[in-house]
Amino acid sequence: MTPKPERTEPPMNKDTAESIAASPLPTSRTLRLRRNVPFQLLRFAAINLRMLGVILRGHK
Amino acid sequence: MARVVILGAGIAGHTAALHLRRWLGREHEVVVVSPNSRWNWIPSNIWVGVGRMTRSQVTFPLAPVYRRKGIIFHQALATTLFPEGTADDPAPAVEIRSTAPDTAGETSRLTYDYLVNATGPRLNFAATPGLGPDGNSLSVCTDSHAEHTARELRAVIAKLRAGEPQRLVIGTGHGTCTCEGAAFEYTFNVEHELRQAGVRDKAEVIYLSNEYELGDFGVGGLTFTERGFTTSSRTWTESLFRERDVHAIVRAHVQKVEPGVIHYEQLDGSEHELPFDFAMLLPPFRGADLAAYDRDGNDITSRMFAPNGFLKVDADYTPKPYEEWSAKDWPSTYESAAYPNIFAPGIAFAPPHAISVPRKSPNGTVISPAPPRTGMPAGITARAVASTIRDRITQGQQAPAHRASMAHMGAACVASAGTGFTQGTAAAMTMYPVVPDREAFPATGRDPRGTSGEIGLAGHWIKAILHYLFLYKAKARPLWFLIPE
Repeated sequence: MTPKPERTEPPMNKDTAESIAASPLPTSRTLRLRRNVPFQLLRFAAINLRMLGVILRGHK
Repeated sequence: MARVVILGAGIAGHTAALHLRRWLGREHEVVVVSPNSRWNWIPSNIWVGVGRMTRSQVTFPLAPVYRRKGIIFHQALATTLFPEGTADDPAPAVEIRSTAPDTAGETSRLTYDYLVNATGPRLNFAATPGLGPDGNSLSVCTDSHAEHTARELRAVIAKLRAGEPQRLVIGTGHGTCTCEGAAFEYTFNVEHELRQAGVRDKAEVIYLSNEYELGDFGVGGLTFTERGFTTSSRTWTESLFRERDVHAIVRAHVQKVEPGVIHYEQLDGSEHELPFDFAMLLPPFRGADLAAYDRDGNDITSRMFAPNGFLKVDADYTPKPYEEWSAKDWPSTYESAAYPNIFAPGIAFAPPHAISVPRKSPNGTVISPAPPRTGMPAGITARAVASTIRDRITQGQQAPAHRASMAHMGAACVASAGTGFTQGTAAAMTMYPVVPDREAFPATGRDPRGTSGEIGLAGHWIKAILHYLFLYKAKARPLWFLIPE
């Protein structure tokens, strides 16, 4: 069996890592809303309508 | 009587077969040739890959459906085309090799009036040494691959529970891969499973991709409006990476995968090694590699097919720089450039070029995503091809072709980021058109009214409903045709 190489810090893209670190972090309220069933039922309807529009446009 | 032979029973081939059978009278034959005996709803393979679904939940046997609908089915692999027939028989034909257990290896020829090449992708693990389940990495491209990957994930979770830190690398296994969306989905589904198992703190999750930046997804990224601001899929995706503490390595071409180590090159030409405990890396795609011969037996494969094995259709294949790429380059009828009775919807057609900006490392390695043609575009293009064939059979050869260019087609994509009726999450995205049209929409190439993105539980519900809806449709249950592609 090939011996496992020593674990090292992976060479991440510096600019991507910095960009991720600077990206907007959702607030706890936003995270709650993403899982809130009544709110998500409304979003479910809205997203479906939006998708239906795109689908119908593609089937013309 | 006309005979339509359809090669492949994936989303494109199966859609074309079901519509043609519905539209054409019984005096016409619809024949499907597929090496697989089961239909697979591939988008749900990621849930098999984390152990949340079984193979039987994402597949079903094709033969009973085709028997019920009156479609002739050959479990076989198409190997050679004779689009002008042969010296002995002028009828166009395709040679097939059986993959059915009782007749495996037997070859035969099927003559046709119309041929639909819907062979989809060949998973080109061989492009990267050591890539794939027969090498040193895992895959979720097929239901059997995904089942194997789920077992490996369970073993990783067991090690984490035992206190052993683990590094999980998920992404693309070559610089020219497509389907970054699937890699993204699997990354966040694994991350979700690790949290659910209570072992997230000991696991390092790394997304390794050939995209130039996060959120490219092989479509050059998206720009949409959110709460009164214009934002990009890059910002949106990076935000999810930050929230879920997933690391990212982009602009990467995997050179080889050794046991426990990924070797990769980056766009700046630098080369790196990445040790791993678990690696799910998608392969690049190529066409089915059909050979083709004219009536005199001359090899015409390169006339009909692009070097990557995909069928050349009504696209503009003139090589041109990125700045000159146009929405008009993209095909709309999917008719073979050489033979008008041959079509290639879905992944099987050769795209004129990528959608994302093409890039090469100083070593000449191409590191940029190939254009996606899976899912909704595959279904829509297959329906357009089936409509053209129906009209030509019923109205005559002069009937105009139906058109479905990806430059005039929107797509709805739902990328799962974790499953569960109340705990699930998915990114629900729409884009119009799939291929940017800078003449129609000068700002970003896409219509801001048709391009959107949203993360939440609702997206997961939509993805789950689509799973059942498309399996229902593929099984040709009552009123299946009312479900759009």
